[in-house]
Amino acid sequence: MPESEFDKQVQQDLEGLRLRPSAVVWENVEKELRRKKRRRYIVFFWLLTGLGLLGYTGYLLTQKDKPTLVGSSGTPAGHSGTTVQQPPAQSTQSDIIPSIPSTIKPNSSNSDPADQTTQLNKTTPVIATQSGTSADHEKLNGRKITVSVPVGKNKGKRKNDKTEFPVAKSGNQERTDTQVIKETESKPTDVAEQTSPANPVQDSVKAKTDSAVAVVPPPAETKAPVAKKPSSSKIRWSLDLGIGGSGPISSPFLIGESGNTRFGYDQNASTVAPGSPLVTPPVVNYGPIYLPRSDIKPGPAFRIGVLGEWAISKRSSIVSGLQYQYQSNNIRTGSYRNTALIFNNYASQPVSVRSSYQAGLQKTFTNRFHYLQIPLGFQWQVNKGNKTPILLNAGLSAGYLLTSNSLVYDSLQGGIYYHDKNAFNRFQLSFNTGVAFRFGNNKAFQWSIGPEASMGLRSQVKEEYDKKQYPLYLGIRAGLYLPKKKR
Amino acid sequence: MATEQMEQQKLVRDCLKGKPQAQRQLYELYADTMLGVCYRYTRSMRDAEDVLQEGFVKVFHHLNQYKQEGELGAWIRRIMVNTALNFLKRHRKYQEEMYFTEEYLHPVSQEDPAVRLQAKELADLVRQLPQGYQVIFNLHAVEGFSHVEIGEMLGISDGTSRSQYARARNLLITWLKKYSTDQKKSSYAGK
Repeated sequence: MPESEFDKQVQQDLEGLRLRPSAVVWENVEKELRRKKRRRYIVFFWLLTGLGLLGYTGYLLTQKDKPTLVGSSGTPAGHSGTTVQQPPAQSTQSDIIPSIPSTIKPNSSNSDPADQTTQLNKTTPVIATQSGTSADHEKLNGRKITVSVPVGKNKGKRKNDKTEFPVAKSGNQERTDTQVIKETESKPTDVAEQTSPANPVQDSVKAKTDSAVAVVPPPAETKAPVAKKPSSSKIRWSLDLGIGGSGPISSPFLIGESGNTRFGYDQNASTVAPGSPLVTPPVVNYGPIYLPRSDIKPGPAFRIGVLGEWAISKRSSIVSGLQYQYQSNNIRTGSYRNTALIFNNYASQPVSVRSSYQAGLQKTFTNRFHYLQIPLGFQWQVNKGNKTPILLNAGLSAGYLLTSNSLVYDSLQGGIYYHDKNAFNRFQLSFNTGVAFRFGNNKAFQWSIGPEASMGLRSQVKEEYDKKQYPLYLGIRAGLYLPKKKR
Repeated sequence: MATEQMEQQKLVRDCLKGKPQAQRQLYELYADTMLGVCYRYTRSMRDAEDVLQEGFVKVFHHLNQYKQEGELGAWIRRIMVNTALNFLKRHRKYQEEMYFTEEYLHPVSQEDPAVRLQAKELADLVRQLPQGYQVIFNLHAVEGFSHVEIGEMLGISDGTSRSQYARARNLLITWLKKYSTDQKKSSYAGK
């Protein structure tokens, strides 16, 4: 408070000091305001995108009976109305032929066996039928199966089946669809085993002049403009850990075919390798019996790696490194068959497998994927505070499939699962996003934790082998930053 | 007076809505006065304008925190002062000069010289004080903060603030006396 006349006068004079700022100041203020507004929109957009993706991933991974996960829930057209009870747990030849109830309701359109046979020959030329299936019927043991005959027309890639492979006529008991290389006694295998004031304002050099200063300028005014400190280019290394769940979906970002889209594979039987003898096909008078592909349930997943953060500004950085990721999902299969098979897959490509699993709901099989990934992402600190920074990150990750035991489905012999290493795309590109909270900013050890999601942009399984399966991962990510070196 | 206040409230509301015209109007209304504030704390006009710019960005960004009870000008001035102090803390050239040593209480000069300077000249004289003195002088003599408040703001004891202020005041009085003597001499020489 002013104590004397001098103090009063000084206060009065200095309080009333008015100087006209240069026009550049307002321009910069305006620019800054616009930038902040834009930044708010960007944050809002990323938050919405991230939350949406997290929510969507969570929804997909927690859904049990929805068709969004790749599986049979979306009953394929070829199997419409097919209900299958759990087949017997035997691993004998009878396993190949699924159980059929004593009362089979043929489709009304196929009520006349003669007509039906004709139609079968016309529309599903590659299916070898077996007459006199009473023996098979006897094996049904009263299990309830309603069979619908696949009478759909051949479409798309199946067009050339007719020309490539001769058709076995109905009534012929020639086995023309599968060649038995070796058929040994089936071994029941344990499937489970496999299973503020600190607001930073740029000190950028501005073309400002001391326009308002008319009196002798102080010497400091002639000083060179203060150049903005370059952002630290140091790399901060961190140990990256992630744990969560994974499962494939049939269409990423809800674009493209949905889970219950018709899949040609399910509508037609497999083609026969030319000149190969037949295995007794699981067919009755009314056509082949299909055990549809199992639902794919999410399985555990984890990730470990080393990440480096390159700061590009105070609150943003580029993140990259090297990661190993394990993903898994669970399917239900029937019994294991140690039988080598050679057949043509859906895309008429010859496939040779040593063993297979019959489709069914008996056992749980765990599909495992081991990826090596190089992520490249952008990390942005949402809040300004340094106490608990909230980090929003998004980016892409290039992955290489090291190995997998995953099975693919084929409608051969009423539905089998087999492993073929050629069936999987080795390279994967995925979109990652997440939010992390960083703690211990003023301590030697810093760590971060938060939810994350990633979605594969490329199908895990090649199109010619099975339905498209885009890997989805939802989990919790933790980062442990290596301590800074003291100088 | 009431109309003026209503107009000001409307201006604030428009600024909160993000209307560029209102923002410009608010800036025009206070820019000159606030540059005067910033000028007293810094060593150059360039720095003063930097502080002004940063301060106004904060004003628009935090305008929703302004309770329409007090005077808007005082609220903006407070933001400018805080921004200026942060600016001084951030920049090395000021930081190096901003040291506050614990000193014994210097006796306050009882002299009461008349100030025969223009506001701008007086401000320039204040700016020539050592940085620590300059800040404390401004905060206490112009802004009216108590030494306890200044101590809290700068992270020093109120005793230090008191002694620095006394030194600053004495130095300023000496300069003013010298200035008036020089003026007299020059006027005599002119005659």
